[in-house]
Amino acid sequence: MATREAGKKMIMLKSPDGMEFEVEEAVAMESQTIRKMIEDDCADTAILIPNINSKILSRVIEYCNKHVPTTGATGAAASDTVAPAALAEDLKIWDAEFIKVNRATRFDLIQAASYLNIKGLLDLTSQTTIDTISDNSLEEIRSFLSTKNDYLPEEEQTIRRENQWAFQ
Amino acid sequence: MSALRPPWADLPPELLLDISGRLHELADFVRFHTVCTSWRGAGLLHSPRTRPMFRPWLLMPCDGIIVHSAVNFEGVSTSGLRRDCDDMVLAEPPGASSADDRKWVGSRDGTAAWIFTWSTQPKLVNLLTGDITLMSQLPENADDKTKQLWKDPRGNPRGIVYGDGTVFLYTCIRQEHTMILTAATMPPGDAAWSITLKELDVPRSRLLNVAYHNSKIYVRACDKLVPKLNAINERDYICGGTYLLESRGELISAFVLHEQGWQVNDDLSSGTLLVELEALEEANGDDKMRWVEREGRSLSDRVLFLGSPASFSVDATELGMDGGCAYFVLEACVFRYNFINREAKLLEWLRHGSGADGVNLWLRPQPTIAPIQEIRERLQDSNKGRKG
Repeated sequence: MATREAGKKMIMLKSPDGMEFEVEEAVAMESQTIRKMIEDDCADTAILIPNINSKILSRVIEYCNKHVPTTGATGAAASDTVAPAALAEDLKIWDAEFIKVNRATRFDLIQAASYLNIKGLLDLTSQTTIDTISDNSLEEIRSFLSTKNDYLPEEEQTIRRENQWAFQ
Repeated sequence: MSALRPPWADLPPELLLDISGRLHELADFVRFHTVCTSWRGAGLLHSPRTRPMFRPWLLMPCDGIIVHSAVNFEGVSTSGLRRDCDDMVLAEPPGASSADDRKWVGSRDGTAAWIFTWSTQPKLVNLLTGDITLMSQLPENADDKTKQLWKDPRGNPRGIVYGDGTVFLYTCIRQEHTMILTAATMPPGDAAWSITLKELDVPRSRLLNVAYHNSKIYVRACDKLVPKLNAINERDYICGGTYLLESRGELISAFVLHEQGWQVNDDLSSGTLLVELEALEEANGDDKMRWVEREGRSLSDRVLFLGSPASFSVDATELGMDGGCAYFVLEACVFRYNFINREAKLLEWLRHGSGADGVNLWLRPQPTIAPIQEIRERLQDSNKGRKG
């Protein structure tokens, strides 16, 4: 955990289950939703994040901590010594590990990323869903994502006939 | 805590919209809308701005079947293994001719593909929708010889449908020392085919391409280009394919060339594989058109999809892909050629036997996705109709 440095503004994020997380303002502002609240001066000392439990919120903060751009102001940041390409590669590996979670967590993360408007995290969480759609048949997609097919058989038949070539 | 089985169907519409906007394969986009009604409803909220940019895919005959392959534009996986399960086998619509007698017709912009048949009633059968377009018979006054040429098994009749609706069909047959081109053209609104017979001044080469442009027929082969390139580069090149395409109103020839003795497994060091371009330009002072060498760099904002019988170009921004590139099939592999750095890259190994008869069509169809209410109304109407 980074120690609190002088001159660095901290922000308190609260989850609905009562947990509080103190994060650097720059880290919290990875979320466009929070950034807007701060810029509009809607944020007092603490911001309540509705709908996102502490377990998911801590993971989101972990993601933002890793992805916050390092600038000269933060001292000897990694970007000063490491080539940007290597840094990007490092982040990619870190992301791949980060997203190795069960389906329920992924589902919560994708919603959190969408609500908090964190582009990188939304890209990452969406991609796994996209891969599921790309790599599987319709029946498999439904089973993997536990979505119930609510089409009547004749409706589905008509829909498939619309673009027959898209189904194996 | 979420339930162990998260309710994916209940994701907010704007999030479903975001996810479906990231699907670059059209087939994936279509299947997304078929998962459940809420996904279909959300996907239909796309505006032209958020609608995903679909990448073309390949349609090719392979051992009697027609295969639809999504191309991995990022390049071959490290294992280099081809997953045939990525392909879909296209169910052929009724009325399409049998595998050994398919006459392929592509569209100028890659939005459709048809099979043409002359038998009894000439018709075009749309491979994706199954729609049938009836065409006129060959003209009565066409002599028997011309009619015979269409049936000649040595020929390989194929065609292109142009943007204005012109249907252009052709077949090339070697007769003794010459090549005979027979073309049938039907501009929109015309009731009859106009037939053109032409003796071609091309050597013994299968790798020629034919196009209809501004009411004229153009035939291209790379027989004149090869010796020129060999002299410049001090190498021995062989033509791997000739393509003709319209791009922003211009007719462009693209020639794929590779070094003699080159095999797909070999490396693609600089200059091994080339794509050269020529454009049809008006010659100075008179109305005569001539072919002029065209610097590939000048197409840096476009992507070329070279196929047979039809090729097309798309604005790079429309696809979200890098411009200044050409994609083509050679030796049952997909390649990208970058005109800017003049480098070729192997993208994908296709199913064994793909495109053996020289047919490979890039396709980018426009999907038809109707709202569920409309589907239900349609079904109700047809049920009523059945009862009444």
